[in-house]
Amino acid sequence: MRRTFHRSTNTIARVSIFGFLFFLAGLAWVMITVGRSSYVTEAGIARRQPVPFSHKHHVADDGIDCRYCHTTVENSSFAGMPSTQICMNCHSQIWADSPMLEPVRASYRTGEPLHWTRVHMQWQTPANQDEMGRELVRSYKIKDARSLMSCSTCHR
Amino acid sequence: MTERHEQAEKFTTRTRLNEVASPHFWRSLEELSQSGELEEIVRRESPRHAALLDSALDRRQFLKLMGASLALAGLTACGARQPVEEIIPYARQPEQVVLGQPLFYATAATLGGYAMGILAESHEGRPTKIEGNPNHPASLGATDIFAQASVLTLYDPDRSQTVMYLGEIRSWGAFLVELRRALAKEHDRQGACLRILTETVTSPTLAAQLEQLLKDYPQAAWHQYEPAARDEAREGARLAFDRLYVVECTPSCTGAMADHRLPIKASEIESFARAVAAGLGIQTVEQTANQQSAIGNRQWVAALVRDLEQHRGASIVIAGEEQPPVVHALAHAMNQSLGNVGQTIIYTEPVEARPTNQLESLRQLVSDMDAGRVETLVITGGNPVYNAPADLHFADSLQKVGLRIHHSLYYDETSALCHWHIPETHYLEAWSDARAFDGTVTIIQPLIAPLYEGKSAHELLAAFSPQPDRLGYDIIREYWKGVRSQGNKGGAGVSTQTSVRTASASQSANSPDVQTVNFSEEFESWWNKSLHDGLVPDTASRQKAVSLKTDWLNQAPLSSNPQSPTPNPKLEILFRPDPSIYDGRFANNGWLQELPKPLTKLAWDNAALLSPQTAQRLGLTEEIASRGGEHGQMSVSVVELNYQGRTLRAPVWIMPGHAEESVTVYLGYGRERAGRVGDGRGFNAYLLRTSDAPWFGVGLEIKRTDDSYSLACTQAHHSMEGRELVRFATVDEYRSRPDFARREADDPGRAISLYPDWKYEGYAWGMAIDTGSCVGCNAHRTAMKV
Repeated sequence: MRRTFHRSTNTIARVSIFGFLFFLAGLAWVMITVGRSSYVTEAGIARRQPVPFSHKHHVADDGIDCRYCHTTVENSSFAGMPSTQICMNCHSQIWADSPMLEPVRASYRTGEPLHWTRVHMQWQTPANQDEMGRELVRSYKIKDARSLMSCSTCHR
Repeated sequence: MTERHEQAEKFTTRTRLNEVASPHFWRSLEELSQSGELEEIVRRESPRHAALLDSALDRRQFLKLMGASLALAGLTACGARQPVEEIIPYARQPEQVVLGQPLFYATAATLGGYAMGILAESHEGRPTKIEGNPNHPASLGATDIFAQASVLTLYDPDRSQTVMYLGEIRSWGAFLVELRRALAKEHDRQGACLRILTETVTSPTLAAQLEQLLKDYPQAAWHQYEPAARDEAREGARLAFDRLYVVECTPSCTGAMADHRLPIKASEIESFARAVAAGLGIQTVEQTANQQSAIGNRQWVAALVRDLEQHRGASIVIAGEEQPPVVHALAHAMNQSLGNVGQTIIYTEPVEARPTNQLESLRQLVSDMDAGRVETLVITGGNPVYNAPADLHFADSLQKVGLRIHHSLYYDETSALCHWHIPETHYLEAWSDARAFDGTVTIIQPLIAPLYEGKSAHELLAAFSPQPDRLGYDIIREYWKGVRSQGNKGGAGVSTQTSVRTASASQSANSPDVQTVNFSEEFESWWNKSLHDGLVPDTASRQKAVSLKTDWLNQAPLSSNPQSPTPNPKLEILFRPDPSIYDGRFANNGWLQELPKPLTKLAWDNAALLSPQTAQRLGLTEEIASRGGEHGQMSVSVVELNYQGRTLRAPVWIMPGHAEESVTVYLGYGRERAGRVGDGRGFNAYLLRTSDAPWFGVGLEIKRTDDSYSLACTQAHHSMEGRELVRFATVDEYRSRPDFARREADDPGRAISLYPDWKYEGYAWGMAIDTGSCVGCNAHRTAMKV
């Protein structure tokens, strides 16, 4: 009897079946990698802000406590953004004439708030804050999320 | 199905109804008669399952589609960049605001003018949820469905947003110009053609403003009308006592909680009350033999009288708000004779600013309008074109008025017939004050600036004064400043104690300047405390000693016709405010519309309620809809209700426990200008309601039509699928078999599992719900929608 298919068809079938699975896995890997790449997340790209502000300068150089500005971090799921009033507590005295800080002074004069651009997108709601705590315990091998006494354990 | 077949079927259902042994729990007539229709209802009513069973999209296809869409959702993670978002902090952070944490403000929600103290939850300046105020006498920490759903009304986009003149947008200034012109004319004739129509007013400030207006325009008149009286009195007492007897016509939540409930016709309640009163030794008019026989259950009366006699001073007799004055008088007499006055009942001065017979007040207004004596009419709150009694023809009379001004939350039926429409502020948007049932004043503070161009009633009335642009805040504060500085003058509810304190403070002061400073300091602290607590201390009405007039019975003759021994071929009709949307004012609130009403479990519609026996006599049916929509549907007969020459078509609802030969219709539906949620739902029962019999009347004729109507009903949701609702046994049975409640089906047996068994250490927790404490108020169910 004449074979309908050539002998090599078996190989082609096997390769294409497994190959398709590998292709799918590869595609998934590409998708995940692209999704997490800095190209998509825009990590390291500076957002345009109304006023150049440096955490490094204010915290590391000046030694201001995080809670001085992020006032609600211990009471709420939202750490809080400092009001213009908090900026002006110091900047009415130091760098009081700096042209860089003019938007801050304008905001204080007019009562019109500053429009900051959000850098990190995840604003945790209380519901998944709990989940986040567990995630920390799991992936960072921290004994207990409540033992994170210092903000700088994670926010470096 | 042929007519005959149908009749036969119904007969067998009825027979089964009679056969069922007495201790058997059931949830619907279909379940009781086990006609096999229940599964059909469950299919129709349980949307989760029915949707998959019936529609073209089966479970398999559904999962396939879901899988595909999930996969595609994954793709978007790669392509889409994160959007640019802004953070806008405060320029100056308000005190006490913790971002992410709510704040609670004490204020009050009103219904029918009466205040209920609430704590309104605010997230970053937006009111989101209503809780009860534990310190307020009308709340005690609880709320009702109307307060819960009021948050949705606040944000309702269908609320009227601007001042309108004949349907066109105008400014508040343009309105003031026209009002000034009209007032100038009225001023010359002392306001002879000026009329104000309000709803029930308990607000001391608003009352003072109205009194001032009547002083400025001595010939003007203030009318009050509200279609539904409050019925909290009945509801309030239900849990305080060991035993509750309820005699009623339409099944209510109170009736469902009762230990003993007797359904009788509304018109027979007077005879019943007289029989009980006679049993207690109160001399009422001689009862004829006919009346005696009309009270079907003599034993019931006897037992009730005995129980009341045994609990002198520890019982209470409450007459329904809808009952005629004579029944209320009888209730007062019974409480007096039982020694309840001062024990379980206290009498106070009326809480309302000006208690009036509101129907009489409205009738007077209509006759004035008809006679052309009204040139300027201001309607603040209320919707009389929709809800005034049909025989007054309010809409026709209204159009004879030269200048009509309507102030309300929605551009409704009345607004459409008025020249000017002024949008009203929601109670969470404006300053005001109001009294609770016991007279306690709450200063209503807003949680948010008005979302639209709304004005409060205070601000509207200020437009009639020499200072037309005063803000609500200033009006309220000035009124209370006046009350506080003058002691009792003007504020009936402020106690002598506080006024004495004010007086002594001013006496001890050395100079007028210091006096003013002292007073303003004291006022500020009083104001802040009142706002913080949600009630003004010592404003509850004082108890009043009362005695029965000796001739009260002569003034209260039998109000209805004595019962004739032959049954009246005509039926009785009862009007009730809807349990969910009240008198129609909440018709555009989706949370309240979709709330299944207590006992009937109908949603989105009203129906004519009657008893199974009456329905059977009239050949009316209720069956599962052959074609269902997305929600559970019952196909019911449509009838034509003929009452006093007026006709209305309505679907029927067969209600076990309803009194025989009576029909209950709920008010509040059939709205034409409620908004996109409430328009055109149900039928308008106000079209049958007359001013001589606002709550019930005899002489209803029912004509069956061939039409049927689909009603949304959730009664058969979560069926027990043939299992008992409650497992029960007598004490003897329990002693012989303590594990009677266990069924073999309870233990499904251990399934094989890869996971290790869970080991319980320490306590094993369970949850129990005391369903006995549920009174069916639906408040929690509404709160769950927030």
